[in-house]
Amino acid sequence: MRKPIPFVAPLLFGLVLVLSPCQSTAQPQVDPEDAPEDPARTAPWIEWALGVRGVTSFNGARFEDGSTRTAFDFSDSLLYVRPRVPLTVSRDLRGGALFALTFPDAYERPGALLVADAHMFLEHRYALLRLGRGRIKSHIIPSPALRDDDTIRIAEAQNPFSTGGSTADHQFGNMADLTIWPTPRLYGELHAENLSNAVLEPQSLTAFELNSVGLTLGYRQLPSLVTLSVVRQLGFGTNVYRLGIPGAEFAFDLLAGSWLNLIVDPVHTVDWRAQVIYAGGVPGADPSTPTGSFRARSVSAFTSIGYTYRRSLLPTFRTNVVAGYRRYLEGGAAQFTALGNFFWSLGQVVELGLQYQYRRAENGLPRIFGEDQSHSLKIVIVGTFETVVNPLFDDRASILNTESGYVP
Amino acid sequence: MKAELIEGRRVFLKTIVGAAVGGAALLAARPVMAQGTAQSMPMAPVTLPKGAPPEGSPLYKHFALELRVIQHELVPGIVTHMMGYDSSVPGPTFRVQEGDWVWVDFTNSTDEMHTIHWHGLLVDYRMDGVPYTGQDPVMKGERYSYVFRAEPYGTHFYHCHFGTSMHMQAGMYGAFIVERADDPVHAQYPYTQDSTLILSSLDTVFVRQQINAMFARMKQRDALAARGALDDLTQAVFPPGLYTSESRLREALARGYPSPYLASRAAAEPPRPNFFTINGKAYPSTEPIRVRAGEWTRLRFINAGNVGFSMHLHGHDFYWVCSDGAPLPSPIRLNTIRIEPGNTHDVVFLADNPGFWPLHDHEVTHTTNNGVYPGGAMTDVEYEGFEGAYAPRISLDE
Repeated sequence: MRKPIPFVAPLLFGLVLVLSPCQSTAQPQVDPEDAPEDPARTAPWIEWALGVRGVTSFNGARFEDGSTRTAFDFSDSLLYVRPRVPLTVSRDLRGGALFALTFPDAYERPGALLVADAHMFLEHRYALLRLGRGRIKSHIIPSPALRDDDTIRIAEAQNPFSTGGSTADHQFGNMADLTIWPTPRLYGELHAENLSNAVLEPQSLTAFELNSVGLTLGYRQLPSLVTLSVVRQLGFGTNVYRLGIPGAEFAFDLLAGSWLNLIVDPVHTVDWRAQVIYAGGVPGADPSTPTGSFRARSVSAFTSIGYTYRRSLLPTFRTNVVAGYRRYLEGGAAQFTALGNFFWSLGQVVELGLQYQYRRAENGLPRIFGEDQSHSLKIVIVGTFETVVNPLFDDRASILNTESGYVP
Repeated sequence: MKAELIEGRRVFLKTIVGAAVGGAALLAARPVMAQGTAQSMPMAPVTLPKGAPPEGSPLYKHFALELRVIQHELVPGIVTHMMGYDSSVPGPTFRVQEGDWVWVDFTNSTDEMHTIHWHGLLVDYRMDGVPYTGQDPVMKGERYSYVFRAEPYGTHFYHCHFGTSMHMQAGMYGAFIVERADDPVHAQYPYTQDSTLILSSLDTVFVRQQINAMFARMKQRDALAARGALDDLTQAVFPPGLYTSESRLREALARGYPSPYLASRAAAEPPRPNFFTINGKAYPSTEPIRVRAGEWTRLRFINAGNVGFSMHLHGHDFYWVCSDGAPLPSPIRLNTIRIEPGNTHDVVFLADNPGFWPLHDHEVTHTTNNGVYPGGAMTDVEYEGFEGAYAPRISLDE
């Protein structure tokens, strides 16, 4: 058995890198004159994960004033590639990159592609360091809604630099984060971001000045065992934003969440999720303005009950009921949403789904939150296709690696 | 006396205990496993084969095998999860006399189901290790006793017969040698060295992905079984009876059970072996065969893998003397012998050409590790005390 490596070492290693300047100096161009020595050569030392997620739906919505809107929506569809290699400096280290393109949420720059991820990572048994653009730590527990923007105003910490131009403001950013796993299930995430600052730099997607840091601590069950224990995930964390405005240099959020199985059964699984976010906000921020709505002091929470049926331990169908509420602590504004969805597995990776959602905004929230009341229905086909070419590595959290000794 | 039970990779100690005089010694030797946790494992009732001595009789040669998931080094720098009988790959070698009654307590200390098939031994069908045909698979934490008479004479082996493709790649095999006092090979070729070479091949990615997937499924099934909620379509890839009944499979499919043969249900791509081993190790970690000039050596080749091997010895001819344990009517002179999966072949050679001589698979893609030469199923024959005039002056990693 290999001697366990103290997790302190990768922590320190990661901190050094995190504290290094984040300004990118990489030259992305590939010089065509710089041909490989042997162009026919393959690279058996590279593992490639290739994936496509297709989310295509027909949406219908009815608003309080009686108006209706329909749309074909392919937002959240995703294409990604993730190469990984073993590193020669240490057989316990891997290096990799993740590059992902996605369609932005519906009604935002239709047709445009969004770079969701473009980061390098270093991976160790006890740590993962990511540098670049990627998904930011804006929640503890994922919402089971069809699309992330269905509940993003409630289930995600809000980017206080956003003006409401894009929901991606709250999901993606330039970031450096370090995840530590002292045990296979306990984790700590120390993260720093440059959140897109539409307030100061409306056109800037390439700024790298850190304006947010945070820490999350939690417990997450191993992926292959999530149906076999009561606790799937528990966690709490905080995000601190450097706003740099007079009288409000900083703002903070507190997040806490849990995801439990009410019925522990791999065939009939009933799970319950709950998450609360307290946004400390900026004194005097007016939630009736777009920017103010992301900076106002508020409490938001969502909860859901889900049922998953896996006949013969194969995906069959799943259904969720979600309710979420955000209350602004100054001015009395509030948002409420409730939704139900049902996904029927047509095969291993393709689902046919239906989602109904009700939304209500109270007391003068800006138009970016939609009409005061709406009902929407989405009929969707979802497919998640991933393959790993030349799979060099076992997962850190695999059963073998966690129960029978870790093999790098 | 423990040494008679289990042989190291190249330690060949013959069983010396006669039934009439060895009872007490055997009982003393049994606790190789019995003193461990296996004693408390649930045990399936034993139905003795016809003619077998009563349980506890000193006439038995008693063995214990425990299966565990281990980390196994194939070659320096390449460690992978495998399953080892008594935590080794290959499992310990059995050596018994023809006609001995053998009692093997098998303990499954993994999360998967297993059996042991005694390949080439003429045992009662309930002791043959075929799941759902002669026995239920041995579940996690269970013990099962295999009782049989050691026959016929010759080189045989044992291996798991549940999830066979994956489990054999994962290391679940070992040699079973049945000797006899009037050894016909020894009578013709008085060998002084006796080496067993178990050949195998594995796809390390396939093994890793399959074990992870099987463990996940078994944990889920265990949870269902504990609550009495394990229905017949969920409990196995093959619901009860489907293994021997095509009609049961049709019936299950009609009830909505997805065919287990659909590509979409596979946990891994079909195996493409990337390591080829002799006694669980790939070159340069394979053990050399040490011989003495002027003496005969017997090599017992066992193919416990899923590809054929064409073993070639440099500098010598050898005589093919046994096939699947049985002595050939007349030996055949060769320098390369083909061993197909499931076959055992014995050869003898006279050490009459001192030096260092490669013994390797002439399917030369099998002399690689992850495609890199040299590696794989290769070792060499070394003469004791030989000091040649040649010594390498340069070594390049090409």
